[in-house]
Amino acid sequence: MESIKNLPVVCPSCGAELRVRALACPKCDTRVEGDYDLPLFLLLTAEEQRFVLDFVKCSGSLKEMAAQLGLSYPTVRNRLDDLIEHLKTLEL
Amino acid sequence: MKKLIYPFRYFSGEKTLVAGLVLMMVATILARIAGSTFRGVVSQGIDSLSFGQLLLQWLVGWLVLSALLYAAARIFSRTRTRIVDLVGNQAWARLPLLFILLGGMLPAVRRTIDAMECMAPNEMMQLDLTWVTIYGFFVVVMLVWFLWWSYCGFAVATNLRRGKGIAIYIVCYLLAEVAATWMTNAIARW
Repeated sequence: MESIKNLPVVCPSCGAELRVRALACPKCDTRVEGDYDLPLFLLLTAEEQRFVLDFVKCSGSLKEMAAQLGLSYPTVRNRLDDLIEHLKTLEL
Repeated sequence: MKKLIYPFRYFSGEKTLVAGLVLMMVATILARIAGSTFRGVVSQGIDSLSFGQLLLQWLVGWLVLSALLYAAARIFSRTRTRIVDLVGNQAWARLPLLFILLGGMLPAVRRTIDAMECMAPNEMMQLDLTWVTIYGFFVVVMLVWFLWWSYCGFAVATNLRRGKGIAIYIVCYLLAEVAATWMTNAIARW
């Protein structure tokens, strides 16, 4: 069974937001070093990321998404509203 | 089990509204047969009212609370609340009130309640109150169930949850109870 590795976005020591300092090519082992922000999408929780992907796959239709997830329309809409609120706080 | 505790996560809007309207008709017919009445948002009593009066009383208990919750949602919620979700959820949340009505129709309970209606408080101790006591506990459980579903229906429809949502719900419920009690009493006097 393949183990799931979650990308850490918060420092396990002090809780600060992590940044990208190095990128590597697994084929030729080239390494790039610098100081980059994590994309906003990666700062979301795994559940929120899943929600965004499902939302896009349903062409942005909350009704279709609710039917696929077996949830009520307002439950899905509330999740979207909570996600929007979270994005707003991350953008600050 | 989750669908029983949090039904509105899974069903809302048109589905709960239709189910709630069926529930209203069943409750009104049973109340007419049993000689029961609806008072305020959740209370029930004994009286002989017409089908129309009973239907109006049920509508008042349901819609006064729904209207106040909707007004609160318009003021406090950042989510666009659909009326059909709020009204539908409140309609279906009244299911436990049907069970209170059915429990009150049990012959052993009804006989004692009818006898208590005609007695002075000091005479009531002569009655066997076992069934009425059990029924009393049952009513409390059903009322807690109603309040939980009603709050959940409000929270799902408006996205007002936790402390803020609970506080708004309690205030709306108390106001609705006062207004609906006055209105249902007026309907009974017609």
